[in-house]
Amino acid sequence: MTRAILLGSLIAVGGLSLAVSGQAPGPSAKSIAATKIEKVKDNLYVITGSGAEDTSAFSGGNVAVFITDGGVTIVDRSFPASDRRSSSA
Amino acid sequence: MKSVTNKPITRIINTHTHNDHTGSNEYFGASIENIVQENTKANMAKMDEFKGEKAQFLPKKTYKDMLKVGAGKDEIDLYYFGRAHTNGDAFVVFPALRTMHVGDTFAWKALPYVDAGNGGSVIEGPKTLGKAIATVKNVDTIINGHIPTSTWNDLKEYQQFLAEFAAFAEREMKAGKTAAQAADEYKLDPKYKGYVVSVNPAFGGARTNLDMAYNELKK
Repeated sequence: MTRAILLGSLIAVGGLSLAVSGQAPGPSAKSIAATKIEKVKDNLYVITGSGAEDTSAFSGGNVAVFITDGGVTIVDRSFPASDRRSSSA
Repeated sequence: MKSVTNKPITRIINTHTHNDHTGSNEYFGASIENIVQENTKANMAKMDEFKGEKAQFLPKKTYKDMLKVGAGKDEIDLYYFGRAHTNGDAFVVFPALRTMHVGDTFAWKALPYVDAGNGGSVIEGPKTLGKAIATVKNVDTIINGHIPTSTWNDLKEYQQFLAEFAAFAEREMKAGKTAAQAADEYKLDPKYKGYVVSVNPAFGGARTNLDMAYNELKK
């Protein structure tokens, strides 16, 4: 359940080519399975994904989550939500 | 994320323009505080994801060289040290936690993945990391673009690895070798434990990086 909320709120999977290479097909079921949240320090976490060896499992960049008194700051945001609809893998 | 906090997301920082780091913009709406280096905003504006009506989702807050947000244990320091992966890479420091997010300037322990179209540079990359290392103090932990975390010493080692690669490119070019010949000759120095030449051909390798380095050195 936690994983479902996490993925639904932040990872936003999709079938998207990388802007530069045009080769990497973007996140897939395999990349979702690879996604996990790890504690770095108190109040700082990283949502990390796949390695890069298998482009079909590529889940995008790391997302840092910094919890402050006033709210949460995130650094970077994985793949676009708008591409979720085109996900087929 | 609900497993670690119920607080709302109030601020987003993007380390650079690529959509595996700037995705999901619409999901968070236009009202959230979004901060990027000014060149990254210009690069994002060229992306299809921010064309037309979607331009409202472009970050509204930018900085050139340095920006401090928050205070005390919540302070975040944003730096720009020059071209590397792109021409707008942010170094995001959490001083109270002695941690720095370096984005894709150090994504993997491998040759860099440089986006020349967005101003990245194979030759400038190690100089940029060198400035970061010389400027930022009291950091022990690095959050990387793709491998989860590494250490300050790993960052220093990576800077050296990139500097040696740039020097190799320059040497080969001066010796009259083509980029293809140089790529054939390039060998990973075994002193770099846990390194590979390339994590995936789609993210750059010896030939791609040498082609870019040669193009830069010809100018």
